Amino acid sequence: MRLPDHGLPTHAAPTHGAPTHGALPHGALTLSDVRVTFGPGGAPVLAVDAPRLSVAQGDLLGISGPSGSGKTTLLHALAGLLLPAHGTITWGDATLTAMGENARDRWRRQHVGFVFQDFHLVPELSALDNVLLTRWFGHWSAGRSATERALGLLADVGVPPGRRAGVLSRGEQQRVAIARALLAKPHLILADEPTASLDAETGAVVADLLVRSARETGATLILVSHDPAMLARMALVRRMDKGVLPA
Amino acid sequence: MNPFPMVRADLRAMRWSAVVVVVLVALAVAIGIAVAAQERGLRQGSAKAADDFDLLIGAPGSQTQLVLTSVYLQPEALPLIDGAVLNRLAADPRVAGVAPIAFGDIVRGYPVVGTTLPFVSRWGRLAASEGRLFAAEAEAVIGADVKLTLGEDITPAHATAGETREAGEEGAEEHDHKHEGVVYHVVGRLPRLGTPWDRAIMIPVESVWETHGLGNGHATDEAPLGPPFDAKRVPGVPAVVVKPMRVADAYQLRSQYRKDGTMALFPAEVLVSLYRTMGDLRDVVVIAAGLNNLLVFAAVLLLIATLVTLRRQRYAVLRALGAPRAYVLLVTWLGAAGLLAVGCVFGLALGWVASVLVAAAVERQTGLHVATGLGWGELRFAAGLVLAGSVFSLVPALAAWRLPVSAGLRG
Repeated sequence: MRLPDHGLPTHAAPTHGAPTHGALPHGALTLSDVRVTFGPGGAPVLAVDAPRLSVAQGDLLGISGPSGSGKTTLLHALAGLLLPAHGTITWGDATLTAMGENARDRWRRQHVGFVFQDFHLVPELSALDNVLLTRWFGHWSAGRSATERALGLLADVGVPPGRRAGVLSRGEQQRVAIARALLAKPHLILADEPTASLDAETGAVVADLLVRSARETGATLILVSHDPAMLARMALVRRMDKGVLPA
Repeated sequence: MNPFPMVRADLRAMRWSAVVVVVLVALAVAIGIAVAAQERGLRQGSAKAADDFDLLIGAPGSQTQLVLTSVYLQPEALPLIDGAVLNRLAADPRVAGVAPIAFGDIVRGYPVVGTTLPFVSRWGRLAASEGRLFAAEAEAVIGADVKLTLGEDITPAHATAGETREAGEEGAEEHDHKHEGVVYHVVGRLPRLGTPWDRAIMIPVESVWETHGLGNGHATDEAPLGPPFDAKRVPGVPAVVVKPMRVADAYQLRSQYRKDGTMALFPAEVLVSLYRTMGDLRDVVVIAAGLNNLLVFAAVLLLIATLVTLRRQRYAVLRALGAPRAYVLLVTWLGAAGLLAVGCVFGLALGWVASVLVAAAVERQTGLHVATGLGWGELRFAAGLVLAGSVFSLVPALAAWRLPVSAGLRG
């Protein structure tokens, strides 16, 4: 399957070392001495300790590790959903950890596609409206070009656009979730256990779709997973244990 | 941004809760609206009914009872005053019009009221809408709501004081107490007044006296109807309506007839006293309705806050997908405020329907027309609730706004 360019003018297809554009440049993702802690200030619990990580634009990085090892927390930090207690996260020329919350929201909207383990579609909306959902965060109308792209993406993942998300099968729901993540042609796709809720066969289809989509759009794909089959599709796999991501 | 697709999705997701919220708010608002509209309507209707009764004179006793019986035709036995008062008043230069009101008989549940032609025509203001006004002792004019036909002959019966029966039906009591041999011929119908007199059968006062064996109030049987009543002894009457020439005359007459076996009053002053009592009662009901609204709104907001808490993961997902905090705030606020606003609008409509139904019941019971339109007061009340609901809806919305995304995503 080749995902089409349906004309949503977000950015040019990225390549390694591609020049940045717009207010928030894209490019390599780097973590430097990042520590995420939870709990009260006096006795914080270290959830993530990532001394150094660098992911080039277009790389496919898998993060494995046992439950509770801090994989999801690391992903949330990479998405700017939480700020580390220490260290910096940069995306190209932009320092994510120095941005305010509104700027991080905007950055996420423009550059990140998120895929969740439990899909997190809005069951009362149609598949098409779920894919278009992120457009309404910044626009009154989804717009014709976005709608055309969304329809194209749904056609590519084989889900009827008018069906209510709540009645779709789990495999279909995850395909819609991937289409939603790809709508804005993100530079960075973050996936949290994207196949964990699916049977092996459906999981394989979804894994292929995710990897292929990232490759075809040149997006960086970072996913956390327990699934060896999913991790096998990644160019690079790093293992976390007890919150530590070895340098 | 466009929060409405998510608002619609949220409302669809909690549709039964949404219905419960709307129904609760609508009922709470409707009670307040109905109380206010009904009280205002009753006040206007009862004041209008008393318009033609400038000054009432009766035997000493309860002023309220004299007004209720004479103006609103609520059946109650009243002591009589000397019929000679009628002649004295008719000859008084301060009096523009005087009319006796004599009751005590019914026909098919409708009160039969003996009076004079000037009062039937409300001092010349009214003409018959059908037929003509009475011109002889055996003739009757009926109110607009009396279900009798012109040309019909009717026989009155002694009414039992306090008897409540559907007008238009002849009860066993009435059947057993008929004035045998007495027949009135219905010759005309009055236009609608919107007062209990719409359900009255009006006959010459002379007929009432004759029916009860008191003569006709005149020296001869052939005397024309109405004052002067020149019999040696003019029969007594329960009430006399006086139309004074001027305001000053009204006060003088009231003062003069407050002694020597009579009681004079302005129905308006009795109504003001009644309204004051009604107002006190209304205040209690309004406070109760207000507390009721407060409790319902608090319960509804608690329900909405609970729903927002249950949906924290959904809103965290929106944030993870790039939604700004303001978007989540708008989605939750619009959902809650929208439900409260819809509830208020339904409450307004429901309150109006309730006041129409109550007004119809009051009219059926008493003949008193109660205006049922919604006033600015009710609209302001509903608008105030919508505004207050919108402000309070910010509480659950702010809870969603403050939601930590990472924790929310974990459910």
